[in-house]
Amino acid sequence: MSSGKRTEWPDDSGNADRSKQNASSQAANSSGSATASATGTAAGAASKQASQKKVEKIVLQYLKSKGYKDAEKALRENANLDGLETTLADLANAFPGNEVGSDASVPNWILFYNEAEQGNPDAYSQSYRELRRWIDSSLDVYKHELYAASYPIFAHSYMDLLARGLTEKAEEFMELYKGDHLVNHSKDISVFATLKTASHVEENELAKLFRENKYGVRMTRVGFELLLSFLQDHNHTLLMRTVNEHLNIRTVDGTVPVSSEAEADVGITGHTQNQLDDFNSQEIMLGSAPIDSFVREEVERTLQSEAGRRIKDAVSKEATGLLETFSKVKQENAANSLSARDIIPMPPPRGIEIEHQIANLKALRKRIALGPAALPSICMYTMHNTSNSMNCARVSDDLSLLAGGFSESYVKIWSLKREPLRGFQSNFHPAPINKEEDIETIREKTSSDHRKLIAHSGPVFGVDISFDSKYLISCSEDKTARLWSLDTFTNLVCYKGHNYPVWDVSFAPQGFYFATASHDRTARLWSCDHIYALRIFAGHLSDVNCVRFHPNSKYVVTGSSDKSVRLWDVQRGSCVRVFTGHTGSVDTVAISPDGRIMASAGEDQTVNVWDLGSGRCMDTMTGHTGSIYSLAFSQEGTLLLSGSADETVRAWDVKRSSTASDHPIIAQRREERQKRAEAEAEAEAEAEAAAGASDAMDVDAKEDKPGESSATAAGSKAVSEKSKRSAGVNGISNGISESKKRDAAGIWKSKRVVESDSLLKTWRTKSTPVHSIMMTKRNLAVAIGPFIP
Amino acid sequence: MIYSKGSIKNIADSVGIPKLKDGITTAMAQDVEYRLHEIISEATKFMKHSKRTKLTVSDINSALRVRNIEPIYGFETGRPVKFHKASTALEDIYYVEDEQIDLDALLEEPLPSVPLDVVYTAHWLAIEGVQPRIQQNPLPIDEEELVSKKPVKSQRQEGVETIPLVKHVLSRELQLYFECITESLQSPDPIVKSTALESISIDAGIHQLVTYFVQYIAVTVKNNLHSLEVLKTAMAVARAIRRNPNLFIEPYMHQLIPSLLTCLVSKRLCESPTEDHWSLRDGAAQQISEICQQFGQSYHTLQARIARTLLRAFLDPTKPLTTHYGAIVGLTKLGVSIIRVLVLPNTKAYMTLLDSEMEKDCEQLRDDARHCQNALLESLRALARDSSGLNPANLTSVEKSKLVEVVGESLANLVFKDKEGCEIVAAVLVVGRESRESRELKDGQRNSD
Repeated sequence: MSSGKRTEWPDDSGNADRSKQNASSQAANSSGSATASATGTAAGAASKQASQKKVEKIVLQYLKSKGYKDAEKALRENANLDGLETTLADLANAFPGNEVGSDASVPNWILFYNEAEQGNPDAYSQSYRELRRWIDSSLDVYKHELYAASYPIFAHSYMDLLARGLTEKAEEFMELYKGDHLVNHSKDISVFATLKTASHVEENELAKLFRENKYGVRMTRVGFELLLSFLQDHNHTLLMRTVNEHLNIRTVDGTVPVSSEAEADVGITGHTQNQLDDFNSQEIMLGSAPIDSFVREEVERTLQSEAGRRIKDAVSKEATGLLETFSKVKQENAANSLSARDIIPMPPPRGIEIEHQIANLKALRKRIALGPAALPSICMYTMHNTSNSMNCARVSDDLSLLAGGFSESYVKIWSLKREPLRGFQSNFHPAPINKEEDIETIREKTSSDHRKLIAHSGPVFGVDISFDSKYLISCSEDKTARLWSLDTFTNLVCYKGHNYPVWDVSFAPQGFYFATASHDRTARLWSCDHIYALRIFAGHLSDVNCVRFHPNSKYVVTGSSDKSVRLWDVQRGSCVRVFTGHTGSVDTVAISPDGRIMASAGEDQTVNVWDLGSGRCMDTMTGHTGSIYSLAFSQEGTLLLSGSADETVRAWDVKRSSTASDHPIIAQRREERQKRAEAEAEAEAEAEAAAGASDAMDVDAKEDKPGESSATAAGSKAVSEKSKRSAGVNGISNGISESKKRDAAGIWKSKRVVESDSLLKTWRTKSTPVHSIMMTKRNLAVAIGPFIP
Repeated sequence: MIYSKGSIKNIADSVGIPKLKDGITTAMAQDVEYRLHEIISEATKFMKHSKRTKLTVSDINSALRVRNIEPIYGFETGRPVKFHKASTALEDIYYVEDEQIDLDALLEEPLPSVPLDVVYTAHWLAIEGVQPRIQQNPLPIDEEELVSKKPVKSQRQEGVETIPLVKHVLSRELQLYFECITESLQSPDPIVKSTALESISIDAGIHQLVTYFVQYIAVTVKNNLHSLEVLKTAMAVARAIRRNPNLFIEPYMHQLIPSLLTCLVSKRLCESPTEDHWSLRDGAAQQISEICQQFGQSYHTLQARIARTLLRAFLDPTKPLTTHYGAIVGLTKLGVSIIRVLVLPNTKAYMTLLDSEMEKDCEQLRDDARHCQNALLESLRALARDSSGLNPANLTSVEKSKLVEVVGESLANLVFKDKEGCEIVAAVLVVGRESRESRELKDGQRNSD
């Protein structure tokens, strides 16, 4: 423990400053005594009168500046302020301590005077400092939940300061206290720090989010009451107002887990508590889609005819086996499939579905069982000479085609079987074509095994290939999605609807439908035969980065820059689940083939695994050191693969038994992991604190609390945070250079990653970020990435 | 603030707004900064969706386009932008160089080559969970490198200025191991020393250290040319790393051989000439011959080059006898064919030199010469052992005169005294006859031409 080296809470203003504050608050108190005499401390009658005058002067000045001549005149007469022609400069002199700064206008002053709290520009800073001090001295059990609640208070205080035009104060406030929240909210804070004026607060995306939505916090009943009574007792009306206006506190019984960030209702979701509860308690049907009766009969007929052939050869034997498998599949399907009424309408099956079904059965028989003990084989396709221009890549399900979307507005496809990709000649006579074989004669004579599809007018950000490898869909910065035929290699349809770049596109598992995700904060559902969107999924608070279909095509999952993942009902077009818990934007999602589990990952380098039914987070997996680009489940759903910018592919153990996320053993394990992580962070922070303290001037050994050396698990985080914070404060007191150093240390710290115990294996590539990873039906993993020399 | 009030004023001046109020400049500066941040964060989205980690000009332009702002043309290149520094009195200014291009020259230039097409290659990243060790996958050493980076970093974090012994790849454990081994090698206790040597010759995980051991040997030999004990240790280390079955020594051979040669033919390898440096030379010769056998397959010229070096030492009369001794021993160990071709034909000439040295009135010289004689005798014995199928010759005077013809008087005497004398004489005479025959054959050919 470093209690000996820990320093006093930051005393941001020196002694001289404090006396100024006292004076100013005194003046403020006495002048506003009409409204709040209770807060006024002992002040002489004479000084009271003097300050009364000052207030009147200010009001006068205000009225004058606003051009309210009548009111000004009336005030003059009533208050007997004859000949008082004060200037702005006088005014500034009149108030001790020009905290307002030279560019603060008179209306600001008035604004402050009208506050319920007899505010001065430092009111936020002071109250927040006191809040922090109080949190720090409170019981370990409540510390972490109080810290969590202090973040929105911090954010709103900062924005309030800006909204009043006190830019310098706001900057000071940010610099002093941002260290508290950098660990969990570094992205937000870097955005907040760019805000400079009131108008920025009004138009900034993130600021608007905070202003217009309530910030969800989970607290225990006792913790909540403690907080309220503290704010009331100390007359922190400003903070109280923030809590009232902008916080959505949910009291829970028992304790709040340290990592409560992973709960669905923490942070900004754009919904009130009740709405969220409603969302996540909506019934959803996760069963698999039923096999079409026509397809089923046809498959059986085909297999039976093959099995029943006279000559017993390999083909008929295989068919017999497939028939057995199919009956098993049918049983399973019947057991948990949806009724035909519930599924989304599909066009009548063509022959291709039957072939596909038989191919699936074959794959099922040849599938290699994977699990934590049996890891998959991974085939890596490395792209060369891309010079950073490949945005996305995808392999078709049958591993026959590889498609990549490029910044230069084209899609390029390669035949993985090295067969020539032949389109059709543009001029041919239809007359001699009578049979299927004749079609082949009018194909192009090319022998090249790759082709470029050119039509987009902006970088292509997403491609997907339909299940039967007949169609390809691409989306681009030019706000459109385009459907391509992989038979003719031509563009069939251009879908316009989005108003901003389209980030991602995905085919439904059974084809026909596809979904797009866009910069315009919506995801849309399309069918191939309509040029307009069938559904618009609106509700995300920021860009929608990725979209995937549920295996039964009934739902769509989207991940967004607002750090949430949502599940949408395709038929109703409404949101049925909200998953929050990521600390950065979500760039990729994957759903297990059985449709029960979903995984999401992104910029925050963690993978979260969710139970779709309950909406609970099952596991949080850390270990990646770069943002995660792609996720894939094994066919059994027991294994999760992830590809990342850190040039690795990692395998994760999906613990199916832990569906109940609050299972005591799981919780315990998680806590232990947390503890381990914290212990490391703490040791580090202490080393830093020690380094900072050695040359800090204001080391206060009195702060030592011997009891804290035996801090409990819950408290250890708070302790480590505190020591971190004190280190940061030392940095400030020692000048800018020190604070820069601390920033660097902060970045370095954020790069350190604790590998969670569900990480099974890491495979490194040779400087190839892994753009895409997928699993075939036979459980072969395919990874794609560009080699970056 | 990114833009100072001054620069805002300058910009205003440049667009024809002469006197900007202070309040306006401040507000402008703040707003410009915010807008820049806004554009950059928008551009970051494009960077992210292009799955890059570096922001490019095209990202900024895309962001501007999304915001309905005219993009800034003329900066979009595939190449990364290079900033140049210009130092001024107040601060350093960075700018992008705007080259002037001569259009005529540009037109006359040949067209640049067509950029390479995007292609794909496939390989197994993992086979049933195990990463195969193929060219396309990173070496496991790279992983160690990654791991070993950490402690170095943390040292720096603590502010302790330690410049690690090895800058790049060596993990802390290996460094410690290396230090420990080199210390033990210097210890006077033979048990400690032999344990260290054994460790080198067995340990599997020290591949990264091979280059350091080779370096160690080279430096030790160079700095301790006159302390026999240290040299012997160095030779033992060389033997140990060669014997370790887990080490791949081949790439380091060319670094190791000079040290071995030094120990073989150096003029003086001990403090006082009476010390037994002969055994050191014998050991070095043995090692060199082993190396030649081991790697002769892959480096055809290796043996030839070594033989040439040794022969030059052997035939140079200005070199001391110690060097001659080393050369003879070395050549002997290189094999019978070398003896036959290089040693035997030169023996007679050399013996005359040796005889003259023997006659000199110096105990040391005579002693050295005796060693040389013995070495030559040994090489003859090796020759005899090889051609064991021959009938031992009778030690008659006829034979003797023939022998003297080949090896000289004094050596012939020694041979006759030797208990393997008969075999040696037979072998030598066979060689002599063969060479004569071949010479005659050649002469005959020349004559017929």
